[in-house]
Amino acid sequence: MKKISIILLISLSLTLAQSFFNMNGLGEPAYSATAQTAALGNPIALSPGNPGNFIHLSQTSLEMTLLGIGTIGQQATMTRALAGVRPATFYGAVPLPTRTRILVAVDEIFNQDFDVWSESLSDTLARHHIQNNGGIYALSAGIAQSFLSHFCLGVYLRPHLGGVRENWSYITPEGTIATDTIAIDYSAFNARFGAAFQFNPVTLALSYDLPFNLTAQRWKLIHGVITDSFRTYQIKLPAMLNLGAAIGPIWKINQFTLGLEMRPWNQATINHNPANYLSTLRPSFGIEYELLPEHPLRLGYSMTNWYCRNSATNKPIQEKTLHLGTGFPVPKFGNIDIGAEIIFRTSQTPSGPLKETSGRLLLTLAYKETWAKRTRRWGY
Amino acid sequence: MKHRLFLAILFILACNTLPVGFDQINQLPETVTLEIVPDSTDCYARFVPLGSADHLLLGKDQQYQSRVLIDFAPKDSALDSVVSAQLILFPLDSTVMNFTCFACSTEWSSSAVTWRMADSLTQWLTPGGDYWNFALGQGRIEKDSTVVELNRDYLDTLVHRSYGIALIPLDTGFTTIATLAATKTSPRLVFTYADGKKRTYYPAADAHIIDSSGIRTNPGELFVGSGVAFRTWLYFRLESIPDSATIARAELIFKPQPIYQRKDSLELGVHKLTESYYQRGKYATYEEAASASTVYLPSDTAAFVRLIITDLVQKWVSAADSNPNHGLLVTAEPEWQKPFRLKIIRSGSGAPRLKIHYILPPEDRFSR
Repeated sequence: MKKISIILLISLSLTLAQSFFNMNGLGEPAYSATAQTAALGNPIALSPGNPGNFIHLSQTSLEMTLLGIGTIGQQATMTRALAGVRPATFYGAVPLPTRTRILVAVDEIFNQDFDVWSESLSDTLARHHIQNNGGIYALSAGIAQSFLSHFCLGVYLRPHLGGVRENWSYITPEGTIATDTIAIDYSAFNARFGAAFQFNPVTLALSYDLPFNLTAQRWKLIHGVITDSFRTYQIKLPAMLNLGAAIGPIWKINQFTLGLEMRPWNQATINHNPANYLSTLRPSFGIEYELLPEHPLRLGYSMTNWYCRNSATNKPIQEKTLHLGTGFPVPKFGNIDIGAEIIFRTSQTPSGPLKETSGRLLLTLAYKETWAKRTRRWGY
Repeated sequence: MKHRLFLAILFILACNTLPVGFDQINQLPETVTLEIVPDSTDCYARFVPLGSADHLLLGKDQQYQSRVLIDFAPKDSALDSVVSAQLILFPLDSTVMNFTCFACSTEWSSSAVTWRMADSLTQWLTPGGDYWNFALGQGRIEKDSTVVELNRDYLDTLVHRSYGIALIPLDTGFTTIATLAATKTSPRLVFTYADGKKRTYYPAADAHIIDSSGIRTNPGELFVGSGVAFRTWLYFRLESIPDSATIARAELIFKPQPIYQRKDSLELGVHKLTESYYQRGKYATYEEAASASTVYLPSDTAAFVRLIITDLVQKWVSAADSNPNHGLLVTAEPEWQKPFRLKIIRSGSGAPRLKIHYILPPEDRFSR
């Protein structure tokens, strides 16, 4: 069952290049996002990824997000572009009597997709083409309890599961001579606690991820057969804290949001050795403006350094993101939200800065009607 | 216009294979280049069947002699009324050559006939073919076709007590004749009857057989040659290469010394041995299909023979159980080419060596 889940999760990752920096660390940190929260700067504490963020929930809510990515990398005089589409997140929340909520979620924690080529070499040497597919996902089930319509506490139990397949193809003028595959399966168990307080027009929220041990089991398939025995890595990742605040509605501004993600990961270890990661902060802010009734315009900004370093120079990887989006209601269904992110990443390499501009388009289908309609039909 | 637009979009999107971001992988798989000289070598000569050649070679010189055998299998019971029997041959080149025709007295097989053997089990009584000791006729190869009037006194022997016609060269030099595979120019036997009617017989089999008894070689010398096959066995030790290595390129390189040739471009091949040469010697079997082949031009004095055997070395290294390394055999490819002989020198820059470039498996993201 676990094997099937890993294969499914790898196959979800259809894109070939999430980031040109994804060879480092555990890959790109993925944020639990819907198109709505992505457009506001991705404050995790204010998203459905926070199990405490369900103070008001009168209807069952299902939110599925599809992500399209286009990335352009620039280094020295070279430019390369890659693109792909894949499912991103799924959130479900069911209200129960006594203001209890049952929660389920599938979201990505890290993405490790990449696709790079080595430089062209002389005729006698093989060129490398390395493609990696996969990531680490959290399959969450949780419960939340709202109190007095002002306060909510929740917890997600988050088993982490993931798998990646890194294919090294060796290419000579005669063609591809061989492909070696490094396969890594990830597993871990974690929990995320969340809380939210709301006293109009102010909402405060926080979520806290426990420190956890990520087990990475690696084996190699050389020339199509396993020729290397298992190797296991224990990756210890410290806790993660997300804070969020929202104010609104005020006049035509539905909400103004602030978010802060803290990853004190300089203490992270791999097999008890320092992982050489960085402690990072990711501040974000966003604004949702009611341009037309029920057609909000959202705008956000966030900035951070990656927790892992650029392995060519050991320098940080800087990331700044402009977020925007909108949404519109769909009668008898819920609503559709569209979010867009333009991510600028840069890090110094020996051949000059490696710059990456990534455009991400998120489409969320939010379904919110089921139980409310049935209640009216049967007259309970 | 649409194509240009599409190309322009691709260009703008920079859909290419440039190494952007490649330096983020800070530890590449280790690559190794090594040159190995043979651990063991040997050479042997062997008469090989030449029935599948695309020509029939007739001629002789101080080193080689080539005879032609053609079996028409005529079935004619009215030989008394034959007023003329003609053998018609179509030369493929302009070399003039006188020859004598004899009737073969021993059955032979085109797929197995050699200078020594009539077929795979039967030796000729006399190496070079058994034939009745009287000439059927004498001819001269020249121009577009050659017609040989056969002596009618021996027609009965030819038809009822022989196994084809043997052509024995009389002059020094070599000429080539079209084989039965050439539909318009294949050899033919034409009987003309008293009533003016003619009957034409086409070959059921043909072959040429070559002798190399004029060649003197010294023990330990390595040769590659065709006509009479000269084969060189080379054994390279590969134990130093890890079985997990990816062989990016493996190239057998040597600079031969031309000794004898009757054509400008010489085709060479290398075969994988499937049996131990130490145990079976020149009877060790080898894969019929060449692992690699190349064309060598002796006129290019700087040219090296380069045979790329990447796949073969990869099998030897990574699947040694199912592909044991018994060495390889350098041969003419095919061996029915017009005779040539190359000497492989044992030492110096032209000596055979195996140049291998291999890559060790990559490390995972937590180890590199």
